[in-house]
Amino acid sequence: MRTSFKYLAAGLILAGAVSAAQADGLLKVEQTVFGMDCAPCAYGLRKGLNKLPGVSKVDVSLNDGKAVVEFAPGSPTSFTQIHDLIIHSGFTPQAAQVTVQGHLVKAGDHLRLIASATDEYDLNFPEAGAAAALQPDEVVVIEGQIAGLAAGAVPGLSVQKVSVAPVRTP
Amino acid sequence: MTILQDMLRAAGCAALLLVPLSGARADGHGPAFALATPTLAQGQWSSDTAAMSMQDSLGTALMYREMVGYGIDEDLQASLSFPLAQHDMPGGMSRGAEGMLGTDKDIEGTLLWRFQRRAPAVGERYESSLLLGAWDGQDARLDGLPAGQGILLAAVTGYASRTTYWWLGGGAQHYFPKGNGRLGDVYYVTAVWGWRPEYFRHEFPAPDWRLFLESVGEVSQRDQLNGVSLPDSGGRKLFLGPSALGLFGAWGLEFGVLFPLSQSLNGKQPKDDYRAKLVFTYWF
Repeated sequence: MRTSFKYLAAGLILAGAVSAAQADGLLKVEQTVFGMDCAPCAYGLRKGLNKLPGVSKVDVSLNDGKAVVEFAPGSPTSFTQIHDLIIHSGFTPQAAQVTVQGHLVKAGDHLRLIASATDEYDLNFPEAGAAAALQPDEVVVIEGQIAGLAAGAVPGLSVQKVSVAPVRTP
Repeated sequence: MTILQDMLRAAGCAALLLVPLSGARADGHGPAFALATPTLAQGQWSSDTAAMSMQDSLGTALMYREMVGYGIDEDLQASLSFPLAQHDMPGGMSRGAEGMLGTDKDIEGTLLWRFQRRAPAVGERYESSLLLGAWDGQDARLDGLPAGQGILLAAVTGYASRTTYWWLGGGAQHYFPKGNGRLGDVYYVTAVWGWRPEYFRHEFPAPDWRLFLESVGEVSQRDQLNGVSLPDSGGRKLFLGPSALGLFGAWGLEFGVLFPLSQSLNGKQPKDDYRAKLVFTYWF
């Protein structure tokens, strides 16, 4: 984890003032799903997830209880949309492993990642002071876990890895 | 055809009406005959095309029904069931079977409300549902007795997983008087146990088959004509039989047969030999 933050610090210097706003958004979600027992369940969920804007690939595993969704850069889909879609499919979303790109903002005493106008995350760091290496307005890719989502709440993302957003050709 | 046979058919119609009604409700990705809990996803449509056959001592009848389902939300499903066609097998029932099945005209609408749902682990679900329905027999006559209209209320609870399934349910169907007759109300309980063999627990979209053992118990009251209960009507029946459900992506194929374990009828109406069903399902 500490190594990741060292990479981040070096990356931030190299990246300079590069803006990657066009590529912000969810990159990948591995969502654990309870209650999904049969092929029509998987079919319906996969079909629903494929309809979300910016989705490039969907895999649904019945035996693992997982829905893995990959996104094209700049996807406007939010994690909350995925969470709600699973509920409206009749299943119960559990923890999710999320990879998301966005820019950081200060929200009270913590950092928030803004991935799109409708997709943001309150960041929780495993080590005290780990967030100090990050500055507001920096564009980063964060991998982490979302344990659950309360209705109307901003998802809390437990940060596992932070990296500088890759430079993209406009 | 004798008047006695006509009367016997009329007497048995209430119990036999249960087949198209409960049968239509059981379509989808549950058992073939018994009540079950699963509902459609919000905004999802489904089509169930069913062929059903029954045979008693007077002959065999075959009918086709269509059920269209829609998920209002993930816990509330609306369905509309209507007849496609009905054929009497050569040498089997003629007008009588048409009347007994009551399927050439009746239209049924149901609401399935899943009021309880708990998913404790991957692939597992405990849930309970209520079923509320109504049908209109329109101008169908069942050997002299008008089919009329009716309502049903049923409840079912159960468990679904990647390996086993079970559901227990029960309900009642009430027939409103029409003209000078009224079909006897029907009460029923259903139980089903299901198993998905290990070979079919592969990942989606591999074919997904499961086997069910289903049981249906029915108690029907006597029919009434001009306020008088018909002697050869009503009684108790208990059925048991296997069914299988195969799922292939958006398609489903289901078939099953029920055999009578016991039939304690009030009169001399014909006894059932079997009830069979074949269903094609498509999820839009």
